Amino acid sequence: MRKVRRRSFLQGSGAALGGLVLGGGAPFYFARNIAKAQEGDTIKVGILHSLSGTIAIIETSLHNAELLAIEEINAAGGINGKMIEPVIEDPQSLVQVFAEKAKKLILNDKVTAVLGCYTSASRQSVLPVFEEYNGVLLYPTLYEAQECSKNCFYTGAVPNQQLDDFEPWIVANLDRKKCYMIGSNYIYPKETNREWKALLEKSGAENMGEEYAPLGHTEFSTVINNIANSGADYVFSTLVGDSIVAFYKQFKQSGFTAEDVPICTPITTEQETAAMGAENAAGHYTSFNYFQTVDTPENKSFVERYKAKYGANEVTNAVMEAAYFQTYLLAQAIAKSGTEADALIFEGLPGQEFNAPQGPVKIDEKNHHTWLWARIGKAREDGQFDIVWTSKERIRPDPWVDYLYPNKDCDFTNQSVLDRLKKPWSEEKNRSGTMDI
Amino acid sequence: MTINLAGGGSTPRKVRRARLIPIWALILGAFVLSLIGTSPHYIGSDSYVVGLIGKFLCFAIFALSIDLIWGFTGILSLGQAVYFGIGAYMVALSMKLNYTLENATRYGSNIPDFMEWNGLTEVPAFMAPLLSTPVAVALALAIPTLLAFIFGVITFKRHIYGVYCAVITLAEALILERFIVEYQAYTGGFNGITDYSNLRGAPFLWVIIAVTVVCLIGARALTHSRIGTVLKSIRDNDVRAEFMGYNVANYRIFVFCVSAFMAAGAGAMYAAWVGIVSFLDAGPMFSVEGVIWTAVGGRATLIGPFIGTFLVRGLEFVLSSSAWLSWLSEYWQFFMGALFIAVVLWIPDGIVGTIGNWLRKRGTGTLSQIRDDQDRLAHDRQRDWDPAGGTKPGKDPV
Repeated sequence: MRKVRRRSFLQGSGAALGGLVLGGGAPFYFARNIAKAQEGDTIKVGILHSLSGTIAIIETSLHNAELLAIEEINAAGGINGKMIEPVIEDPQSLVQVFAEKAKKLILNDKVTAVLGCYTSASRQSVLPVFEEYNGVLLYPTLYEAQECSKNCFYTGAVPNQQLDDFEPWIVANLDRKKCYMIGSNYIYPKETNREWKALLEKSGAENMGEEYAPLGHTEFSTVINNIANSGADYVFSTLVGDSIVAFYKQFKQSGFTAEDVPICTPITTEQETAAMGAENAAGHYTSFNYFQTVDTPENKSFVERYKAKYGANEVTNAVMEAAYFQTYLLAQAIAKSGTEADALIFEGLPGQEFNAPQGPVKIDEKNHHTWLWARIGKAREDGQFDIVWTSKERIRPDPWVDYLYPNKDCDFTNQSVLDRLKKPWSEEKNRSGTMDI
Repeated sequence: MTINLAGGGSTPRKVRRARLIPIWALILGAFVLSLIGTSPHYIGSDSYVVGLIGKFLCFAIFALSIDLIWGFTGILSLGQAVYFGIGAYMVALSMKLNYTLENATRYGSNIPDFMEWNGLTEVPAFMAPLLSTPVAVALALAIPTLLAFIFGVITFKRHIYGVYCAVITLAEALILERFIVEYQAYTGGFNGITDYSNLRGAPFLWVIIAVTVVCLIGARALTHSRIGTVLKSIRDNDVRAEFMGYNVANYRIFVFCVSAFMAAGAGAMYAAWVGIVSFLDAGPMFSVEGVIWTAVGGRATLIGPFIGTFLVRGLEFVLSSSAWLSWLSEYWQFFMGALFIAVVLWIPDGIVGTIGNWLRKRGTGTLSQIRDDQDRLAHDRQRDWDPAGGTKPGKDPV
């Protein structure tokens, strides 16, 4: 008989062991989770924000804001006496991991809803999972709109809420009509600029140039040269991430002042002004629904509690605020309709209102986006914003703005849409509330 | 093959080459793989665990492809994800194009959404061939292999290897990553390609398992053959191999192409299985991860990359999960870092390699073991990828 080689034997048995651990261990791991899910004395809510990887800094702050809200809700007695149990996952800034973790949260942890995602990339990667398994996602980031998934509630701003009043305000108050557009090269800036161009046209302003820098780009001397040569009197920036910091700094270094050529943007928040050194941002304008300086009692107490829990140097920003109030909206919705997904989607969440730090907000009954306030802030030397304009009332979200998409609308109260959404996933994969009008 | 073992002067001992695959390995392998293959039935084909297993198998094949060039031939590539990524993107594009033909996008049209928001109104002509699945699969395998061939001719024929080769491969990965993010009308850019119906559940899992088996047997046959011996000799001392008359550059090009082919296959299956590809899957970070899995599992072993991938990725998934996060929070990554440091410091041969060493030390030397030991010794002396740098003078065995 031939002798078994020990080394190969070892390799083989190693593989077998690996197989056994995986094949045998995994079912245990999740049998335990199922057992937990059936306890039923708590309401499970998934929290899906990256705590590690490239977007961890901003996502950790969202995660913190949601935990703060959950802590407050539980301290006030929970939802109808039941405590919220956060189920935290770290998708490591990787899109496929987002999808896998979403699947785990929905199928194994059986969470009622998930608060999560920050980038459009991560949202688009989890949406097919939420749609197929009928989960509920609350998404706090401003985004490019043109989307309307049955299983997602959008609590961040869509472009019409940040832009529609901003452009006329620039014309009226800054008296500037020559715009140069600079953005990062991906979906959000492209879609936003499409709307911005339509707005420019409406008010008779001029488009002096449009340029896109690669994501993460930090060298803007050519761009700044182009701006100088174009004769533009203000810049509309949709740069994101590190590019913001680099662009503002180099803009100032090249001799532009905020009085000559202000940068107007729907993106730059307190987070970025702190990162770039506030003197570089001072005098430039940001349009957002929330600033840390918003003067409401709700905001004062929010900022206070946030700082008490996470440190006095922390700043709050609009996305965090949305992460915070969406947790409350969810809690109220569960109290109203129970934890079943379709009840939550069609009864609980639509129309839900809350006194958020930015003012009273409301989830739209038709398109499942959120009514938010519009504000324009002028950056100060200390990195905070002076609010120079506030809308008279909260603004209706419009994921398909009329001046670009006159034939499209999103309506979850429409009977033909509802009929389509009632069909099982195997027959109908279109889970969007978008319809032609 | 008959070898006269000098010493003792007795009758020559007849020694056979070890079998390609020992019977017990076949049985064990079949057992483990059938366990994995039937997992959808006992944990449900919708379970994320099944998803992870399929994904990890693709990653493990990717790590195996790195092991072939790094562990067995001594070429450290920090850009192996290029071949994985191209394979993945070809298949993902094909599936996405076909999916949108049948299911309108959120814009209501029948071309992928990333083309729509970049102003394209129809699928560009050069992408039309991807609509056919066999063509897409063929391209997914052929383009990376061809690219590896070109890369090999450019570098290895000019005697560029070692650190320089590693740097060039790294640059390759950076370039591809940038390319994908920039040419977003054709690649989906930063958001990648998602929302197409991927192949899930038991049937495709069996395909992945079958490809895994083919890759393992292929790698075993390659490393076990005469070519494999030459490759190892190139790893251990390429100058000597050259002097003995072997065309070192051609051997390197050959194994590099085989490895790229394998990585491309893994990428193609990955795209079909997971249903999401992003620029990260073609970038330097992912390449380096593959190297880490191989190092943790054990270089120059065939099972090592599999153990390494499942261990590292599995641990990452579990540690970043609710049960552990509650008391490790975001610091779980330090734990992973500590693991890598421990592996590099104390078990540089990786898990499988180290256990193998330990077992061999205790065995009495049959010829195959002696040969393995020689192999191992030479490999130890050449732990560094630099073919000239690792030799310790005065410690030449024999």
